[in-house]
Amino acid sequence: MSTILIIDDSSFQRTLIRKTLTNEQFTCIEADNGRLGLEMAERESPDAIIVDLLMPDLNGIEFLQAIQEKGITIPVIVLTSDIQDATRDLCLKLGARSFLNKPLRPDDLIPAIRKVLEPSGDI
Amino acid sequence: MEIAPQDLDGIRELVNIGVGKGAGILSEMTGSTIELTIPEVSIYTPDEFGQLASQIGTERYSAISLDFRGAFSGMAYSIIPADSAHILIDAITGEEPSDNGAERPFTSIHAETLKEIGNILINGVMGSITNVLKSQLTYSLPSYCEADIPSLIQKVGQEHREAILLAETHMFIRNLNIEGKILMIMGSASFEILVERMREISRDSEA
Amino acid sequence: MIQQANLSIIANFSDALPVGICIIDREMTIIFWNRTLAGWSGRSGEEMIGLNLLDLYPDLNTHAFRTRIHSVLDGGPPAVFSSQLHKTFIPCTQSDGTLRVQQTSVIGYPGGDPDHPCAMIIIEDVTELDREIRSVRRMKDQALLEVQERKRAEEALEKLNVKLNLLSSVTRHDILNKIMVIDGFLGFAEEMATDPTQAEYLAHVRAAAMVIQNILVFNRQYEQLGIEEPTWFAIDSLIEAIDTEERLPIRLACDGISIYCDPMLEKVFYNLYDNALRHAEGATRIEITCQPSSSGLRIVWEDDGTGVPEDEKEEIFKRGFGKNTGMGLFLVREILAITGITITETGEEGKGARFEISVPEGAYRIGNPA
Repeated sequence: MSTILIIDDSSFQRTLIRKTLTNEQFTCIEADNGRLGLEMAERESPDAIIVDLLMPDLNGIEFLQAIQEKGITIPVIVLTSDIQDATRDLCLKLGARSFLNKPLRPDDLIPAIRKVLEPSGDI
Repeated sequence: MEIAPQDLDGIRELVNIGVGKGAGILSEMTGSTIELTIPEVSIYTPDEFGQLASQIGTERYSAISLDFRGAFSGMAYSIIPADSAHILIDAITGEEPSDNGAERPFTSIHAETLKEIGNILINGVMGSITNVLKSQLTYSLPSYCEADIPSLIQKVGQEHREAILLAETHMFIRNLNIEGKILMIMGSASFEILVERMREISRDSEA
Repeated sequence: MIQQANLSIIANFSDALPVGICIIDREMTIIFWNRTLAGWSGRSGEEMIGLNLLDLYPDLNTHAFRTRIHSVLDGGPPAVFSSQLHKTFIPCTQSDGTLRVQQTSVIGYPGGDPDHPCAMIIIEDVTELDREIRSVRRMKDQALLEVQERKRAEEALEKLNVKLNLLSSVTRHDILNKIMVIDGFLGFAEEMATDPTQAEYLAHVRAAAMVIQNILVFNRQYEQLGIEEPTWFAIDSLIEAIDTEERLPIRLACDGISIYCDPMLEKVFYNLYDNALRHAEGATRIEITCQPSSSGLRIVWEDDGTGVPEDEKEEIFKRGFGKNTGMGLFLVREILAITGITITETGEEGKGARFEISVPEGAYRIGNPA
């Protein structure tokens, strides 16, 4: 079963994501800031990462840059309240595989996760 | 009622989602990217807020009010200090920003523009709260006024003036700092319903 | 069915309203179009119902518009669209070819089927208001421009004034130095002069030099006029400050009265006193009285000397008049005029001089000395 790393400073939001994912039999691990998320990504090697953008201590953009620099190829889905096209373009340019907006919609998140987990979806 | 850190976290996230949506629309209207920060959220009783208000001072703000009724009822304000309001107006109308923003008077033209800006922000936040909590509310049409924060609170009927939720956000547009506050004033019963609804969602999630 | 019934109720009252009303469903399909909107757009309700709003008005088909309308359809708060940011919501051309300026509110439509949310678009015509606002704004911009220009002109004048004052003060200083030189050498020349004609010529030179000196002294005083802000002065303190040396006693009856005047006011009383000493032959006293009247305060300064001849009563206030510098009373009138105070001579020749100083309301106070 795939393990998903959820990085979001809001425990409320992490809970909503975790519920959505565990309903679909995914295993979840969590971090409440980008720095801890980066450590867990390296240490736990999850199958996919869901990351928020606005966070203290390494924000989502910095997280994307950091995993790119470290050569980590785990697929990343950005889930943010920022709906600006410019933000979406920047995230995709920094290697995010999918860009979703909050509030979380299970009908958007689950297909996005499944897509990045497909073997052909891996870079 | 006792407010736990998780409750504040949930409210902050809902405000964050709402402000993000509002900022997205403002970004499209200004043609500029808006940088967002994490909102700060705090909850007060009227007495506590009285103390805070004395620290905030009697600065006059542009405020857009929205009365809401339903599962929880009260008044929401989107509040913009004068200098931030001028930056926003200049950005949206495409005028060159001037140095003495705070000293420029507001005209009826500005009031109309600010009403729409405030409407966008407050709708983002109210929309985010009602969407996630799956609550149906009815609303008044938004209205515009200029006042200090204590006066804004006084405008709300006594029975709806028991819990005050203050969210402070900063947006940066072309590197200019725009400060905005969202103020939700509710009766304690309404506020409990809001918090309880949020806890339920978290509990459902835990199940 | 309920929806149809509700729509017909809306049609009944909305056709009587001076606002445009349109109802759309979730797909932005028009389900209602009132008579006012039909009049503005030239498109009837029958023609519009069933058509898609975004197809008809592609300007509305932006992400920002769609998002905001969708949040209303999702049960969110009303959305307002200011005429200042969006000239029109549904473009409607008027007979003169210009577009109707619109202020729009989009609210959830409560009369519809709860499973099929709809939104009501309410459009107010604010063309006239917009025109007025624009005209007021133009007037304000013009006024601001004029104020800025005037400010610039004032600043330029101020700079020029500073330069002129500097030039005048330097020149005055240099001339006064030269007069001192003249004075010194005149003294030597006068001592050496044995010829009476020569002595008489030298006396003329001295007199002319003294006139030049007096003019320069006056010039310095006049330059100070109006430089400092007017303020309140107690009359009795100013009069007491005059050193009479018991030559001509002053009787004063103006207890506790203050007047608002240029700080050179002390020169006014000093000059009046000096004037009496020089010209009021046979005078034994000066009397000063203050009388509040309906138009203000009247200060009367009178002596019992020879008085001023009828045909000189105005002349004495002109620059250059008189036997001394010809500046004293001219300066007196100028100082007083700064705060609207006037002075005239109203005495009777042979009985003494009488100066009437009229202080307007607001420029004097009693019992509250500054």
